[in-house]
Amino acid sequence: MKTLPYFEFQSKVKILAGDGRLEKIGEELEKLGSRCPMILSSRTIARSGIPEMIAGGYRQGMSTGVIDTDIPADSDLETVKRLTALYKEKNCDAILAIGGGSVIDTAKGVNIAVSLDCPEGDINPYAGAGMVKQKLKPLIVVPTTSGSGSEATIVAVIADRKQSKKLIFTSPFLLPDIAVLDPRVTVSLPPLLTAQTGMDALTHACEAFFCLAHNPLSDSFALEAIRKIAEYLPRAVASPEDTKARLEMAIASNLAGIAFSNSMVGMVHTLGHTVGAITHVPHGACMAILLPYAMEYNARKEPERIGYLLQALENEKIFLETPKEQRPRAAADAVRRLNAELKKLTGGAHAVCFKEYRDRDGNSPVTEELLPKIAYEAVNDGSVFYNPEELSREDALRVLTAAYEGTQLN
Amino acid sequence: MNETVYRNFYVGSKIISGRYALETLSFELLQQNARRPLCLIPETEKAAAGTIRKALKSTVTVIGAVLICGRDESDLPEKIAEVYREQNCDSLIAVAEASLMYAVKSARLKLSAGKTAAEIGRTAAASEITELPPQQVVPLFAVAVPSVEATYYPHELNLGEKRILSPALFANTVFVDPRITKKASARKEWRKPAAAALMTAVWALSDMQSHPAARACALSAIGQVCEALTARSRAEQTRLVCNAQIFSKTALINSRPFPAVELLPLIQVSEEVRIGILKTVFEKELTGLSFGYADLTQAVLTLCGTGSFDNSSPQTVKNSFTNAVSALLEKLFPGKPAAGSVIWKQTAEALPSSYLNDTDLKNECLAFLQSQIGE
Ligand SMILES: [Fe+2]
Repeated sequence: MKTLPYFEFQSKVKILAGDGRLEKIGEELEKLGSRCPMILSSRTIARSGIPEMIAGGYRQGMSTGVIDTDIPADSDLETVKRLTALYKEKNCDAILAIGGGSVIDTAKGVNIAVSLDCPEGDINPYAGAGMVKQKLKPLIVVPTTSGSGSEATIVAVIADRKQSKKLIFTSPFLLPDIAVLDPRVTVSLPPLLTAQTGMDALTHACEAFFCLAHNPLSDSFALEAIRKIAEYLPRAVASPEDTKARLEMAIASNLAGIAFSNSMVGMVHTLGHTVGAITHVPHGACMAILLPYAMEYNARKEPERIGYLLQALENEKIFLETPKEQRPRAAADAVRRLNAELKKLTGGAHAVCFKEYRDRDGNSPVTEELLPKIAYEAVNDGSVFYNPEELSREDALRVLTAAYEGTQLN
Repeated sequence: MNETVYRNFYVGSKIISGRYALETLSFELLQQNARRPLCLIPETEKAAAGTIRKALKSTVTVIGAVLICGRDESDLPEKIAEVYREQNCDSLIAVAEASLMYAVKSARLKLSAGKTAAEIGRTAAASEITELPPQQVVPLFAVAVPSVEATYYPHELNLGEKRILSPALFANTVFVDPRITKKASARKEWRKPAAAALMTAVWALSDMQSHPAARACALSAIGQVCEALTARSRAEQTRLVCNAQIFSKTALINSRPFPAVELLPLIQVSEEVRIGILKTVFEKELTGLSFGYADLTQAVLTLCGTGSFDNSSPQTVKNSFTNAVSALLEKLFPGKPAAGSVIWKQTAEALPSSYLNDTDLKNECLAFLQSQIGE
């Protein structure tokens, strides 16, 4: 497999992975010079006994300064300001974020405010690319969904509701010091959510591999992630308590996060972002439905790379026995089979096409009438630039229509 | 349930590799709030100074000073720290030749903590210091040259009796720019670092408890060596080999290195024996691996011009891979390798005296060599 003549790669987050890693956080905090961390999390996590497991590993004289679980689903500036005041009031010296994307983003925002002494926690002046130019306070993250990979990214998105805009921060200093992957954190994730977030991770890995910004390291991280997801996602969905499967999924999601944050994503995210924005279908559900179509759509431009995914999705033998020209389609079908299996394992809840997607109230948010609007808006999403094949509005509509019906793309 | 425990994983440095990689130097400096670097150039790589100067032309970066560093200057860390302070520098750029990298790291500690590595080593109790106190270390940017020993000493400082192994010692960014790698004095020797990178990668892969991310790095390293064999230009070839070295080293420091891997570069044996060792170790190690290699096998075989392979079962694929790697080594080191007892005897005889003093280590190495040769 040829690689591109130029690449950049960074992944400075130390990864602690394995059963029993939560109890190692105390040791890591000590190494980072912290005795009094602030914990940011959700109510469910706070009730699950995880903060107690972490405290069980604290060294002498160490204690949690404060646990805050009042974090909105979309991180915002007001929350950052409130938590900054709390951090100072409790004399905290590090942040420990246990949660999904919004908790981790909020933690990154608070870290900017407390490390750079922002008056009243207003981090507005540091919004933009590369505005944070120095090391921040220690930040440890424990991701609770195996999907987003946000523990591996240099980005934080914080909503400024007063100005109704999104503040986007990018800086290598926003990377957490440590990411802790412990299966006990994800065992409580329900099967459907496990399936959706897992398919998000799979999409990160696949798109990182075949989009235009791939690099030799992101390639290997992506392939390792795909192998694990193909093997362990059905297992984690079928038996949520299977800690081995949970750990492998947490690792796979992290590997995929490292892969796409050093490469890029493509049209699955292009279309998925817009479907999500217009219809509120969860991100992972959109990814699961759209991924095989993007593989078919890009097969002409990147036959070798998409064909190679078959090796990771299935196995060496099947890959070798499939004639070269049939491999891309076979790889897309492998994703379809994975979706079908997840559908079966979730009692039909995991949708394989938009037509059969139902929200909590049993409604179908994606209708055929909406597809032209989605296609129209989607092509403005930045991720489209890294998709191997050009994507016009007509093409986008063609793909969306097939993904709506659940038929193969010609 | 059998417990799965992975060791920790980290890549300490950002890696920027490719044509004009050095043109991003100014941006990377700015990200660390630095504008006035001290440039450290080994005597053997003087030409690199010009390339770096050119890359920084018409940027906001002002080179504070350029220091040409000799190989045997014992007071180099102090000298670097002195020039750094005198010239009001705020960062270091080092062309990464091995002995210079040690001096630079030592100087960096002195500038940050007021102590040199040797002083820290004297006061610290453990023989291996794994964590340095958290501190604002001086940003360090390393420019790679193609020699496995020199390119990427990521986070290690050897102080004779003590070793400092700390993430704080990583360079912030490593640049692999063909303009430097092709000019570097080691360019004629690209085959050796390529083989060493392969070796390191395979060794990392043989550790079944290593983090999957480490395995990913090792596989990338092997891929880069394969690509290097058919690279169109020498510049690209050395760049790919540098990448392979960095990737494989990253894999290895995140795995559990076996003592003998450190032994090999030290022993003075004939080229023939070296090839023999490489081949034997490769074959032995690879049979212990548990995942597929068909694509890699195909690539290696194509490179060696050895045609198709038997893919009827995973076992035959694995065998083919082992053969393919042997063929690749044959290409890297043409010649008839020594085998069996010849390797064993010569290697044992060549064990350096420092290893002979450490009885346990010596025995372990001997046992390892014996097991490799099957005697
Ligand atoms: Fe995503």
